[in-house]
Amino acid sequence: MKNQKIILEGRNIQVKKGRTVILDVPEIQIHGGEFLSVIGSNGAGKTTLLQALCCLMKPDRGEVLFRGRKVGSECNLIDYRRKVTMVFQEPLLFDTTVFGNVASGLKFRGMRQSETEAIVMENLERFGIGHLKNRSARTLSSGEARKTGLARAFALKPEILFLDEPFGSLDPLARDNLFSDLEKIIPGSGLTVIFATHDCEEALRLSHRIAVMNSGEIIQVDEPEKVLKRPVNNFVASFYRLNKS
Amino acid sequence: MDLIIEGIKKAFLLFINLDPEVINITLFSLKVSGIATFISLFIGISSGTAIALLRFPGKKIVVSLVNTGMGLPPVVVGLFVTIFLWRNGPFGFMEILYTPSAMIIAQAIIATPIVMGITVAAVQQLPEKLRLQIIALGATRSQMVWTLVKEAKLPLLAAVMAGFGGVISEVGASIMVGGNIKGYTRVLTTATVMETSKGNFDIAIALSIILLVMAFLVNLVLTLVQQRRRPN
Repeated sequence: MKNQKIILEGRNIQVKKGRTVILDVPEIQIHGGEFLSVIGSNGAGKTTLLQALCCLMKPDRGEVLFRGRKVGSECNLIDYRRKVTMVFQEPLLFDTTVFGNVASGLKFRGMRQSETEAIVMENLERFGIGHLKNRSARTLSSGEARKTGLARAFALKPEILFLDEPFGSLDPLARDNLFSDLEKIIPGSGLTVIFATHDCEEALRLSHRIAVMNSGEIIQVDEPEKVLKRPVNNFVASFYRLNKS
Repeated sequence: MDLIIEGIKKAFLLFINLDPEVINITLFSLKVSGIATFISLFIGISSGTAIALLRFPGKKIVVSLVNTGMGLPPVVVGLFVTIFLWRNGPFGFMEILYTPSAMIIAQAIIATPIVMGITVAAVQQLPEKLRLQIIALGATRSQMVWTLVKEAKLPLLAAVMAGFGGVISEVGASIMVGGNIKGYTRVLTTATVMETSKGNFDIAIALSIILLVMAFLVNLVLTLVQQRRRPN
């Protein structure tokens, strides 16, 4: 992955809540086509980091660079947001049909209905939920709702996909099924993924690198093997031991 | 009791015989309150959404003022609209006092804080992350706002019902700025007040039954729409 160009970079990012610093990341670089897992316990700053890099929030300090261009000045914010997307812990579906949900991002981009239909169906079938296309999103099970959320994100063909614990609160079997879907889709797709989780085994399944976070700081970013075999401190070493699912 | 039964009979007869005056008053009431509600929806939903989504100093005070406005006494509105539209008032040049336009303005002022207050609550109760999800899907600011309003449509239908209910039933402002002129500014509520003051209780009861039935029918339609869309 190091041979690939840097697609996304965060510099001196700091986010405060009141007077408390909840995220302090001097530097993070993500390469094109990379699968980076961000691991850490609850409150470690994973979600804040993803939201800052996705430019869904304005950090108190720092900047995000997409393909070397500062987002918000050298690169238009909306243009950047339309090249990336994020799947949250909760499905956050709209009060419409499954089809309408998956089509929503395409509609925001002004895509015509005729073009939308083929893309939506392709992505519904990809996650095995084509038969649910006319169902109201309110009537879906948790697993079906997560799949709809993922299909909605993949329909946009993003360059970078942010996954913020998208399998949270699912039972282990459903988590495994969804992760298996991602394992079929992501490798070889060229898609860059930043995946926040507190489950180390989940992080190891697809990651090229793992970033371990604690108290708003990135403690170590390395290939999975290095994190496991050469943790930079006791926290990183103990985190893996304690957070195997 | 006989008086009430007589009133119900009278209401039935007025409608069966399609009494032109009653029909005109009923349709005029619907027109005035309908237009006023529509105006209040436009102002109330847009400003309520802005208040809910924007962060600014004094937001809690503004929300408190809006909530206070939800109980705005119609006579106070009537008084100030009259003063503003009085011949020597700031808008006296418009010469619309004692016209349907003045009634629509007064009713819209009464309904707007009701719609605004319910809109603020409706948009604020949406999950904070929903806004972020919409942005993450590439929505512009206006697309984001419109999507949030659509997501809050169930409580917003309650805003329509509350706004319409508030103005169709008010009498103070309508009588003050409309003047209860026969065939011109007379609505069901002002006609009921007049008939009561004249001692014509049967007609007054008949008019109030018509008012109640009309309010019920409008709310029934809106409730059916709301409940059809209610998540299971």
